[in-house]
Amino acid sequence: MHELGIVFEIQKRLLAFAAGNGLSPASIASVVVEVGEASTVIPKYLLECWPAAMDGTDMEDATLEVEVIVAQVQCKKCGTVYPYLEHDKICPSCGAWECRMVTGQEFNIKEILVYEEDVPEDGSLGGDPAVR
Amino acid sequence: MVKVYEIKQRVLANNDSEADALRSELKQERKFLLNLMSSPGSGKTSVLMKTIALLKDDLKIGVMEADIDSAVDAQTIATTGAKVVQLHTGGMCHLDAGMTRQGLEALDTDGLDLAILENVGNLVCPAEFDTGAVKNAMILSVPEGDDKPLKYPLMFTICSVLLINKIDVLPYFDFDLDLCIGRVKELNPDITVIPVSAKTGEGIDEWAAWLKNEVTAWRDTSSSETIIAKNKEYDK
Ligand SMILES: Nc1nc2c(ncn2[C@@H]2O[C@H](COP(=O)(O)OP(=O)(O)OP(=O)(O)O)[C@@H](O)[C@H]2O)c(=O)[nH]1
Ligand SMILES: [Mg+2]
Ligand SMILES: [Zn+2]
Repeated sequence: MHELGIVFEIQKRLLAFAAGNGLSPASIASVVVEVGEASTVIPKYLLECWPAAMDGTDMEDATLEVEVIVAQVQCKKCGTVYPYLEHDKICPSCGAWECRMVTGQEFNIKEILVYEEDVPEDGSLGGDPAVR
Repeated sequence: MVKVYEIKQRVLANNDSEADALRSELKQERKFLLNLMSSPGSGKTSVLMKTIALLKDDLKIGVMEADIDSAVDAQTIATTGAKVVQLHTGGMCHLDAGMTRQGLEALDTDGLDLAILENVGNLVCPAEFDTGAVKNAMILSVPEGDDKPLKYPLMFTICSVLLINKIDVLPYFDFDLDLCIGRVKELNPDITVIPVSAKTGEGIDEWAAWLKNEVTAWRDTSSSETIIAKNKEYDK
C-alpha cells in the first residue's frame, strides 16, 4: 500500500507544474493519470487517498481521473499478443506462460486540466500576477 | 474554460532524476550502493551478516537498516563491527531516493567502499522507487514458493542479482529450483541467480565474490563508461 506516498508525489508534480507555468495551484481542475494493470498501483486506493492528501490545500477542488491501461503481453513461443490478466497469464493460442510485457507497467501523468481566466491579448498572464 | 496540458511523464519522474543524481555522485566518490530487497523474513539480515564476515577485510562496509519500527536488525549488524544506521521510514512501505540520500548522510560514507541498504520487507513498493543504488539485489526464500516471479514480475526485472535463500530446507518444500530460475530468466535474461543458505553458508562465497567484483568494477571504470540499466523510461 504505497498509494498515499504516490498521491503526495502527484501533488508535488502539480505544484511544480503550476509554478513552472505561472499558474495558481487553485486553477488546476483535474489531473489524468494512466495506470497500467501490471504496475504496482491500485486505482481504487489511489482514488481513496486523493481527498485525504488534497484536503486543506490550494488544490482541494482538483479531481483525479485514472485511466487504466490493460496489460498486454506477447507470447514468447508463438507470438500471440493477449491481455495477460484476462487469460490468467496463459497464452490462449498455445498454452505457454513465457511472455514479454507489451503494455501495462505504465504509471504516468497524462494530462492536467486547468481553469483558464480570459487571457488578455497582450500575452500577459491575466489577473494580478502577485496572486499565486 | 478549461485548458488541457499534455504531460505524458512518469509520475515518479522526479524520484527517477533524484536517483540518477545520487548515482552520479556515488560514482564520483567511487562508492557503491547496493539496494537489498525481499519479502519480510526472507533472510536479508542473515545474508548480510555472512556477507560482511566474508568481505570486511577487503571492503569498508556500512549498512542502512530500513525497518518500519524496530532497531533489532541494526543491533544485529552492529555486532559484525560494520558501521550501521537505522532509518526511520515514517511508516512508509519503501524508501525513495531522497530518503536514501538522507540515510547515506546519517551513515557518513566517508572512507566506505560499499553501503548496503536493507530495504523495507516488501516486494511491491520498493520496485517502483529507484533509490539511487548502483545495483538492486533481491532475496527470495524457499518457503515463499517458486511462483513468486509470476506474482511480482516488476521486482525481478529491476534486479541485477537474485539470491534464492534457505536452500538448506529445499527437501521439505515443494520448491522447484530449476523451474523458478527459468521463470526468473524469462522475466530478466541478464539477472544472476545464486542459490544460497545463510544458515549453512552454502553459496555465500559466490555471492560475496559477485558483490566484490561489482564494487571494484564501479570504482575502477570512469564515469563516461557508466551504463546504468533503466527499465522504466516513458514509453508511449
Ligand atoms: N533454515 C534457514 N533459515 C534462515 C536462513 N536465512 C535466514 N533464516 C531464518 O529466517 C528468519 C528471518 O531471517 P532474517 O535474516 O531476519 O530475515 P530478514 O529478511 O532480514 O527479515 P526482516 O528484516 O524482518 O524483513 C530468521 O529466523 C533466520 O534465522 C537460511 O538460509 N536457512
Ligand atoms: Mg532484517
Ligand atoms: Zn503462445
